[in-house]
Amino acid sequence: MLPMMKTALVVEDDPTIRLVLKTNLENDGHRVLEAETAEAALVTVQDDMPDIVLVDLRLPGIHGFDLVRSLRASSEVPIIIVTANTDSHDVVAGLEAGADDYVTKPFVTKELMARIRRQLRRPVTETDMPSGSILTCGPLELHQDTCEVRRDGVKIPVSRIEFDVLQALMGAQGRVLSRDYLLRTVWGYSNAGDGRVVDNLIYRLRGKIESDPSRPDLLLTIRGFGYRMKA
Amino acid sequence: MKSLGLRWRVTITFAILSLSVAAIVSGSTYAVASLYLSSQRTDAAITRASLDARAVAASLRAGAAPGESLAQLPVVDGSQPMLRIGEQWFTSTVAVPPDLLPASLLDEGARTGAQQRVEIAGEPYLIIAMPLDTSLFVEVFPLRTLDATLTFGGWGLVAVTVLAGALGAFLGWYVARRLLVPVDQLGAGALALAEGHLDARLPDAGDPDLDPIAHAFNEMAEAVQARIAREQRFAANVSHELRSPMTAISGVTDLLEERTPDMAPQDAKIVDHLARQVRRLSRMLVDLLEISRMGANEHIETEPVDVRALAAQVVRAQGLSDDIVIGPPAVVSTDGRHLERVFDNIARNAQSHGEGLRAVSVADQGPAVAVHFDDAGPGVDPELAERIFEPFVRGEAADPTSGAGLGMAIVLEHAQAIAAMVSVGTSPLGGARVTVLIPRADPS
Repeated sequence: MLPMMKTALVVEDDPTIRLVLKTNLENDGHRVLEAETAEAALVTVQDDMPDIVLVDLRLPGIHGFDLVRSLRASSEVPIIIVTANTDSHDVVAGLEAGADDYVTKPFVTKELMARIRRQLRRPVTETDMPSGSILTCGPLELHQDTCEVRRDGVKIPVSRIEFDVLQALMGAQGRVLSRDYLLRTVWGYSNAGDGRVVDNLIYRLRGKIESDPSRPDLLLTIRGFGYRMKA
Repeated sequence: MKSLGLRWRVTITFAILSLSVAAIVSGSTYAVASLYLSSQRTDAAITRASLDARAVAASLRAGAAPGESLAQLPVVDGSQPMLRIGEQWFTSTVAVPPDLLPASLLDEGARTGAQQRVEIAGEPYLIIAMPLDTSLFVEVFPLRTLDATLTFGGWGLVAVTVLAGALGAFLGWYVARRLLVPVDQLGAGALALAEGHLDARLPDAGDPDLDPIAHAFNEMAEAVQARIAREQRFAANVSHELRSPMTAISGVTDLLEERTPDMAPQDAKIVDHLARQVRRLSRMLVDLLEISRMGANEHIETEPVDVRALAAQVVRAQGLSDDIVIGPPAVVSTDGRHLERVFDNIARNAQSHGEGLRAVSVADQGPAVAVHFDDAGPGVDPELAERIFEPFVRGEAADPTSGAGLGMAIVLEHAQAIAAMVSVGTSPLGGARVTVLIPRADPS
């Protein structure tokens, strides 16, 4: 089966890096939109909503954080930060602004492409999921065939990666999943990664599924080990 | 031996000083008082004895019997008059038997009159002897009351002296404490600064003698903080300015490398060399930036970390089976990201320079957990083992294109951030053994 063509938006002020990202994405069969600034990116997404956004944090004009924040405010589009700034405060700020993953420059092309592919996965179809199977945890239902999450029957909008994390945790039926395990299986990391990527996504997910996100009773933290769903 | 602290020295000096002053005053007071009281008592006794002797002489001359003349004498303060006529003793009471009196005193008393302080049966007495015509008059005065008074007064003075010493010690301790408060604050401030709290400042004490010290310290802290901030900005800019072109170069090179199948063999070879050198440069840049970033206010976030699970994760990331990780699970409280960088760099080093990682063993060592990484290489020359943590130091056998020799320097930087210790030795399996000792408790 041919992979479905997707649209990627590359927001990067360095023309060579833009060329590299564009070429690699096109080699993978995707359409690529380019923007040199956050302002241009915001205009582009109004006309043509991409399926994934790659954002450099240090942009002329509006900062990458603000772009991520405003994209996240209106959509669940996967956002990967591609940054030369490895300062841990910047990474955390980017994740908190709503990014799903980050890659530091200089990146290994193969690794970055693997992460992009993981974020762009086609919606789950009957071929790779048992049809109609529903995972439940308390008031929470996860419909594996339609990629829907419901709480007390009300549909909750979740991003692809949020769905995948929730599916992994609910499928584990109360067992603890380590952050490393989630990074490898959900995010597509081949090397050890930064657990804060997981922590941040869990934080966002709790905001959607928990009645009181500051005192979660469905998605529990096992300090130092990982996360698990209430059994 | 470590010399005593200033606080103790001041306290002890004060104590010794006040103790000596008090001892001198008390000692002289006691000496003067006892001398005065003794001479008073002696004078009174001599007067008494002379009067009694005259009365006895008059009574004997009037024809009274010796016992009779003694009995008529008034008894004052337990005094005991005695009379020796020829070899025979007469006495009104028998509190002190005459045969216990010292013979020398009696001889001298019979000639010229004498007095002496004597202990009889453990009691102090003043004995006065004087010639009375052909006989000898002796009067014994108990000194018990006087001695008791003096002893009591003496102990009182000792108590006062000890009290004065204690008071001096307390005063010294208090003064030293007050004086050392700003020194303590200075020390705490310097320590906070050294620990990376660059905003540590000393409060104004409002004291013209002390404020200059606080001001000098604060100015220094200000300068250090500004300098570190400047260096951090510089490092961040260098990092960013180098990373961006490096990304561009390696990205373009990767694209070029993908096209080698379509190239002439000679061109493909050139691109292959380019790609290898670019990867090497890129790796070195990342490692160097990682080292330069460390130490500069690196954020530490502790959480429970299972050392064994982390080791297994790192081993798997190297494409090895985690069966080579042995030992019990061991949970420590540390920053997992730093520990992961330590393990990852050691494992990678073993893979690229040590002919492969052979075994990772976790051992509980009480307050610390030890993790040994054993490789299959020829081992590390003991001379090199000490220098291996310096940047750009590699084993002689190392392939010059395999790395810049920064791996172990990165290991050391990350280990220091979490107070872990790293050492290189020889593995029981024959190769090199890198041991990481991780404290169980928080590194802070």
